Amino acid sequence: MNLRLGPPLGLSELRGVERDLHLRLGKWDTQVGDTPVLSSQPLVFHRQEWSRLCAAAERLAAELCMEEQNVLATESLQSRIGIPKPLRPVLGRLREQSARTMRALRFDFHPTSEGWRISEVNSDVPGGWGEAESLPALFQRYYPDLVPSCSPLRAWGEAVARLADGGCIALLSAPGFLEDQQVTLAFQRELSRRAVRSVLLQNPAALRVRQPRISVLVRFYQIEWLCKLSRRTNWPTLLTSADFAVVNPAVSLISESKRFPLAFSKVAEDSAWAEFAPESRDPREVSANDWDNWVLKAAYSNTGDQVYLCSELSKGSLERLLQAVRRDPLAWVAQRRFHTIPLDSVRGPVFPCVGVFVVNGRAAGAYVRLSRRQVTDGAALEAPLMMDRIAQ
Amino acid sequence: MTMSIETVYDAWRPESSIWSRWVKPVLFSYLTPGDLVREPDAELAREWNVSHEAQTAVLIDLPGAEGLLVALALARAGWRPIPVYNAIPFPTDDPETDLPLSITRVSRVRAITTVDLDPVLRAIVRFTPTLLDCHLPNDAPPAFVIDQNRKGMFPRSPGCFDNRSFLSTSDFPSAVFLKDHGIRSMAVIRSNMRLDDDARSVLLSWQQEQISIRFQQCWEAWDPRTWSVPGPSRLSQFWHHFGRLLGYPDHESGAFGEWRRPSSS
Repeated sequence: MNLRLGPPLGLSELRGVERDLHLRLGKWDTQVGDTPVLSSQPLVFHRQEWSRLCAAAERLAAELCMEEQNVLATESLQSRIGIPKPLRPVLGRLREQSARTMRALRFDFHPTSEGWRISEVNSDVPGGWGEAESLPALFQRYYPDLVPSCSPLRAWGEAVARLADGGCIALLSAPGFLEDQQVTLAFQRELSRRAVRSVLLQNPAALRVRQPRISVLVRFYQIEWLCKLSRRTNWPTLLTSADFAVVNPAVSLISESKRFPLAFSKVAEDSAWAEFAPESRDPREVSANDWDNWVLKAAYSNTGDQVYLCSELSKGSLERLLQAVRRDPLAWVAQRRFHTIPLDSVRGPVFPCVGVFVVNGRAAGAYVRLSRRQVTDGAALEAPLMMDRIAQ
Repeated sequence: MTMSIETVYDAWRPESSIWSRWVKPVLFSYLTPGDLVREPDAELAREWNVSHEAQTAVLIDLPGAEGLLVALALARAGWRPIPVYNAIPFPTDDPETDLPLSITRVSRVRAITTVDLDPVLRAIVRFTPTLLDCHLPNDAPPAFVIDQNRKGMFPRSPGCFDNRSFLSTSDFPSAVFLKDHGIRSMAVIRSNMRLDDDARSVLLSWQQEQISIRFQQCWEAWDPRTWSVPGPSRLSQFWHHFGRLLGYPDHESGAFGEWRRPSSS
């Protein structure tokens, strides 16, 4: 596979990058516990490899949107993929609406010996926009032979500004989570650059009191969290409102479920999902002696927080996990394990995760993480995506 | 005299200290030129007779800027202040916040945010020259400063900017890291022993790994006494369990469905 890690930045250069992130670019979470998570090395793609990955992401996105409509029309499929009960009426109302919206997705690709594989699609509230723009830009001055990939934030800004059509945009995120507020602030900077007015909100109820009127709601608030709020916050109306466009729209909760691949009743052999997505099964369909070959994931999980490589669990831990799965099997999915090929970094072997953004069907840059383990978690290094300057 | 934002940032987050990594940078990025004017300040003269202990780190859990005032007193005794204020001080979308003078910002911020971080912002700048004058050595032990008001001071209305924050173990070095760098105990400076759940879980994570926790009353004679931090009460555990069964939010904030990190997809 045509990708590599570039040479590392020196300590003082890396410190300069970090300072710019902190003071100018609103990126503050560069330390997680004992781990500094800013990579000193860029991930470098050969241009053709990058083009292949972009094409794959666009095919996956097109198939995803088609299958979402199928699930939207079929209540039994909604149950099969584990849509939370409070949200099913919302899907019912979506069927009657014509959507004025846009879609922003992120497909997480991993290099394996059999080619690229996706671990998941972040369909509801994909993050990493600010990092995907600022890290390549900050690293470029030290790497004259490399160029940054295109900015996903610019593609996002262009699409949202078009949707807003001169109106005000509300940026909603959950209070208390600075990592999420970083994302909405990155959005706000991009909108400000385009002279589009925006406001930051932390409570759906605020939409009732905000002036001026909102024309687009950018929802960076996980839908499975929203539906646990009090109904006094008016969250169901928010998801189906005809007064403003919602980004991402509520239909995204279908493909956000890690059980979404179970909805594909017949996957054509030449489909992108057949090519890039590992086999998924209802956990009840996995043989008891075969768990070493499977990963268990919560249907709605974030940043690897409920992803378990079964072969790495002790017998007792696996049994406890399986008990939880048996109690609520629709809340889990089993995904056939694949092995990401590690790259040698100055901090030891790292496992790349290339999160390719797709905005309104077009691939637009990537958020790169380099994990010290097979699962990409919150302590993974964040790295810029760069390309060779001269096409080879 | 005016300092640059970089001067302030480097004073609190010097490259030479191993503990600087845990300084939360968010507030530094919100400093404006109006904040950076150095003014004489009688408050800075407040002394606290503290005996330096090289193997003791400190966690200062006091409201607003008082934590930084205590941290400055400890800096004179040889501890390096590590501010762990992890919240956005005010929204940038409010058109009035573009006004340059911080003094006019104060009343406005109080009106539109749930936590007033303006005194903390200004204290960071005011205390910078004094901190630099301390000439702390590279191996000075850390004094982590957290905001006791982080869960909110003012009543919340839907339209206000909700800048509450919470702590997790990932905001601090682990017990292993602390021990590897010579820290054996953690002195907690508070006005009382009633901990919030988030601070409790951080302290418990250290205590369980044999970091000795001690309690010190703020501004009282320095004599931190051993403190066995209790786990959450049965009532509190029951309440959270019961609330989950009923579908209520998992946290007192009531703002979101679950209370966990990391959050972004």
